Amino acid sequence: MSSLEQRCSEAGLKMTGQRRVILQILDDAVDHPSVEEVYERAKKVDDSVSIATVYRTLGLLDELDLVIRHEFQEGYSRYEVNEEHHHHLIDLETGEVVEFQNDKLEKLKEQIANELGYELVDHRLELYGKKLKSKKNGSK
Amino acid sequence: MSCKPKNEADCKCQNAVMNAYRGLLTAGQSKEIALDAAKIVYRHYHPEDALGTVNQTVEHWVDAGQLH
Repeated sequence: MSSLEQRCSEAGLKMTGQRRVILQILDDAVDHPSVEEVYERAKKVDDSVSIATVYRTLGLLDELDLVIRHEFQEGYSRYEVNEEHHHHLIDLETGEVVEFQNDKLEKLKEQIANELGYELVDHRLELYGKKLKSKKNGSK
Repeated sequence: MSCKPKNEADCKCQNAVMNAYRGLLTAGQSKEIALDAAKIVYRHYHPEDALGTVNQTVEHWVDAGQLH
């Protein structure tokens, strides 16, 4: 399951084969494809996908705030996945990946870059940890 | 102790390594980042292993999992 598909499921969007194809196209895109471009790419995977389905799906994703619609003054819209910015903590014992967001961390990253005389453009951060042992009731 | 192929099935680290790799791919991270994380998890279990052994073992598991 793609990360976008997972977010759609969490948002309650009913999943069909054609929608899955469109979501995968959007997830894989490194550009900002238009409806026509999404349609052309989707057709190569599943030729039963119609342009009406692409329009409807992108409209739904836009309503759910899962894609960002750009107007580049070309007379049509371009779309990109609205990525939720988050980080990952990896449990060293189990390999479980925990997603988290932290406003203080976001500000701190900007602050560090600025203090070093840079504008923050990108970053990479993963945390690794072991679960803390829970204290037993009554123990000190 | 090093996690050699003959005892892979018994080693507790393999599930953790593969969970981290798959989990990060599912979360949308690149294969390179997921592989680096998988190696860090492996090193948690086998800190005594040489870097070459870590790379070889984890890459072998990932390849065998056909996740590329």
